[in-house]
Amino acid sequence: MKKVALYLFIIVLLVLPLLLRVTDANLTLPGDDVYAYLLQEHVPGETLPVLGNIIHNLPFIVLLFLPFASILISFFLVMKILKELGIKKIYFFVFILVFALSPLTHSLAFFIDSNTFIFPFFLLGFFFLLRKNLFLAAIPLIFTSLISPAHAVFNIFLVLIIKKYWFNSKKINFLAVLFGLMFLLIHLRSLFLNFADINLQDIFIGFFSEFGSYFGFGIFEVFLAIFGFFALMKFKKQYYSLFWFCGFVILASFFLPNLRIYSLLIISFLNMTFLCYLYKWKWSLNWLKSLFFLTIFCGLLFANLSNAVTLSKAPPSLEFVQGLDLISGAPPGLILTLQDYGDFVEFYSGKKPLLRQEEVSSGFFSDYLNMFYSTELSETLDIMKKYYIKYVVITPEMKEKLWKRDDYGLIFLLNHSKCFKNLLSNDKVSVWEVDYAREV
Amino acid sequence: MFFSLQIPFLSDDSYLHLETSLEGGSAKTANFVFYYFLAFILFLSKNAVVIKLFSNIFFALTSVMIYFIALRLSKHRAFSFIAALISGFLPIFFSKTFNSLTPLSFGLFLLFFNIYAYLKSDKKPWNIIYVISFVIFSFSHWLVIVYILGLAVYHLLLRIEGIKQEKSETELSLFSIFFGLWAQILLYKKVLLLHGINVLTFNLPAKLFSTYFPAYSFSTIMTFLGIIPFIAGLYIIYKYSFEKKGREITFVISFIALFALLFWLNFCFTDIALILLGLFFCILLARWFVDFIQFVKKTKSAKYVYLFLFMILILIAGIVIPASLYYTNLNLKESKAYKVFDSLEWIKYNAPGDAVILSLPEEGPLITFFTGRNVVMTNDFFNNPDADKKLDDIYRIYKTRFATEAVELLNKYKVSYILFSDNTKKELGIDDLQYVDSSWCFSLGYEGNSKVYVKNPDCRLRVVK
Repeated sequence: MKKVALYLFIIVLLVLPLLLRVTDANLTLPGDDVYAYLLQEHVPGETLPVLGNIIHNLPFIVLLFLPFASILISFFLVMKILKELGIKKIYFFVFILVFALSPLTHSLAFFIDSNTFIFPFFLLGFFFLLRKNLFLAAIPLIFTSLISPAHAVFNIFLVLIIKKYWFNSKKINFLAVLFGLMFLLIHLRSLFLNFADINLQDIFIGFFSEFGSYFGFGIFEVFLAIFGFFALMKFKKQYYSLFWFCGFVILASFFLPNLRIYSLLIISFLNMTFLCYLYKWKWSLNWLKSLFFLTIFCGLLFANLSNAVTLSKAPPSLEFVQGLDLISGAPPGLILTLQDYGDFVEFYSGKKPLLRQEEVSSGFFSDYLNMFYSTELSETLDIMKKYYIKYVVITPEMKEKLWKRDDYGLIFLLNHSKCFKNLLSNDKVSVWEVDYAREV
Repeated sequence: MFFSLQIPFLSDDSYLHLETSLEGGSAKTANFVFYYFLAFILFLSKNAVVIKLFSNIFFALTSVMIYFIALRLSKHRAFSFIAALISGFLPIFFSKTFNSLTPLSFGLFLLFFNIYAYLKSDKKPWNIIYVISFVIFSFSHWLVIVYILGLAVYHLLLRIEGIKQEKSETELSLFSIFFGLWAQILLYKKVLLLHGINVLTFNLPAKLFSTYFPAYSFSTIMTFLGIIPFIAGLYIIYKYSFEKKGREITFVISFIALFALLFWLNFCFTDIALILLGLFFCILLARWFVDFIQFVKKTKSAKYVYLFLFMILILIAGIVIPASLYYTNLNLKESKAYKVFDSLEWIKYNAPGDAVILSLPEEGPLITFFTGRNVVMTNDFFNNPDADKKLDDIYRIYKTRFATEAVELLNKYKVSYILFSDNTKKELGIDDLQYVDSSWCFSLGYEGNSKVYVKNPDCRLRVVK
């Protein structure tokens, strides 16, 4: 009975962001990756084209619940893995609970992106690896390794760790070499990343859900994990390589969001260890024990609920989509907006954006920036004409990111020139039509 | 109280807290326990003496807590009393707090009460008292974060020094760390989302950073800390870190180490960090007196021990009290309330009820409190998402030479009155608004200690081809 109650509680938690979004009358698919798949033209760099085909052909309602279904499968596989590892009953339930309460699990149950597929596939591969069935393990792990270098490298180390602590055979050496070769062949180009672009402040904010990250951990669970790490220090000599491996994965996941699904498992494991350690600890202040565990549960639960609210408001908002819908029937022309919005702007307006996330020539990008920052009306209109810009879509986020002052660049021209006709303005978006005929 | 009652006003920053409490805006701030407490006092009486009594009582109680903690460490009543007395007159503590109505008073008292309760937590009722006071502390002031960090440093030092940890202490520390962290995440949830990493710098606009984190010279810092408590404190830290081992002294040393680090890294407002460092050094001073007496009694000068002690006390009093009075006087001279009060009276009786007044952020709470009118911005940066942008606009309005630029920005914030005070002159380095004489948009409404300009409501900016 308690087991059923726990599972029901977990299901309610996982479906909560979606329910909140639906009750807010916003039936749009959250996130931007999914629109890239749906448009099929510009599939994000780190994925397989086959994912685009699958998503493109699925009905909308299925797409809405696809991440939720994926995380349920993942839960099932996690439970199988825990059983395979011989985790005791109390540890098992604590792990399931802290795993479900993590804001990152929420995100996995909410957004459609490559992780919707990678996570269950990885768990499946891991499960077969633990069962020493290398052939069945290889298939899902090869699939995940194809998607990004981070996954490929993780798989190589995972296989080496399994080899050291679980079982050793010639076949497993072959598997590690196979992942290594795949990594070198497929992801060689990605090795030359531009590390100069890394902004430590953004990375820090992106790692914690409390700062508004859609794919981060709660501060509270990370704190618990740190204590869990210290609680496990007594085993450091015995599991030296495993300690280094887990530490490296968590540290790397600060910079590579792709690795956060693995960090989720490690952090949940550390949380479980710490909580069970304290549960078994002989408390001298017995009354404080219940208070302490109540605090921990509240801390995890509140982070989870607060994240559910944040996720439910993820873009695109209903008002934004209404604004884009307005220009779907309007005369043809390209849309000028922030490149991050490119995919869902095209999906909902039916008109192509000038720029998405793809790489473009420096000349093109310089023109793109000039349109935002030039205060010369004639210069702005000339560039707009050159690229057939007919509509401009501005959001509060753009105002914050691009212009420090309201009387600067394109924002000033939009408000003061008759060449721009305001079609719609609400809290989330303002849409403008460029009228070249009024140019003097 | 004696010094505080000589002055008709509170310190400038007090009006922000007074206004927050009167507005019932306690819900939007994290220190809500303090504001509810203040609201209750204001409900009972709005008499200036009562408000001043309330503002000073917690600062006074902080010195009482210093006495008890010092007694715990030194086991000597007279020396603990002297240490507590010196803490009350510590230049940085006295000059910055004697006329101040701020949540810091409550926060400081709770910080030291928690430290005392923690030190006594091995006894039955005190561990319960500690948990209750810690829960109140968690919802009262952000100093609880520093307290949690202090606990972490303490346990680290105990480990390094190989001192055995009490089980109940570890349990209370674990509870404090996780409860405190959860409470802070809960209280600052919106602020974390709003400001992101800027929370660490209290969302202070870059232009005002040096105001809140002033770079004091070494001699000024020494004067603030009272020199002798500082030197005596350093000696005790050295002695108990390398020669002797003591759980309770290690606890106090953890906080000193932490505040020194926060002060150095600019993660804690300079004045608050110095106040706390000064108070902790005063606690160690009591222990130093005991060690000093023991040392002198072993020497040939044993018969002069009390003469030495008397001379040291005279020396401390000679340094601490004049310095306190000097800085107090300096703070009073810089008080903005004195300089703008006549203009605020004029605004109160002449400006419409819905008028928006432009002023520097630190004058904002004074205007809101004394006139009941809205301002563009107060110095409550934590609850202001566009602090940097607004401050930039305010500075542009004051400094620009062009009426067009000023009018557009004034219209943006619906401003109809501009307060131009001595403080504005000093801070922005300008003599007057440069565009007022050449434009029909502005007229001088009042001129006294400061000026009030009135913007013509019909004045608007239009783009003409």
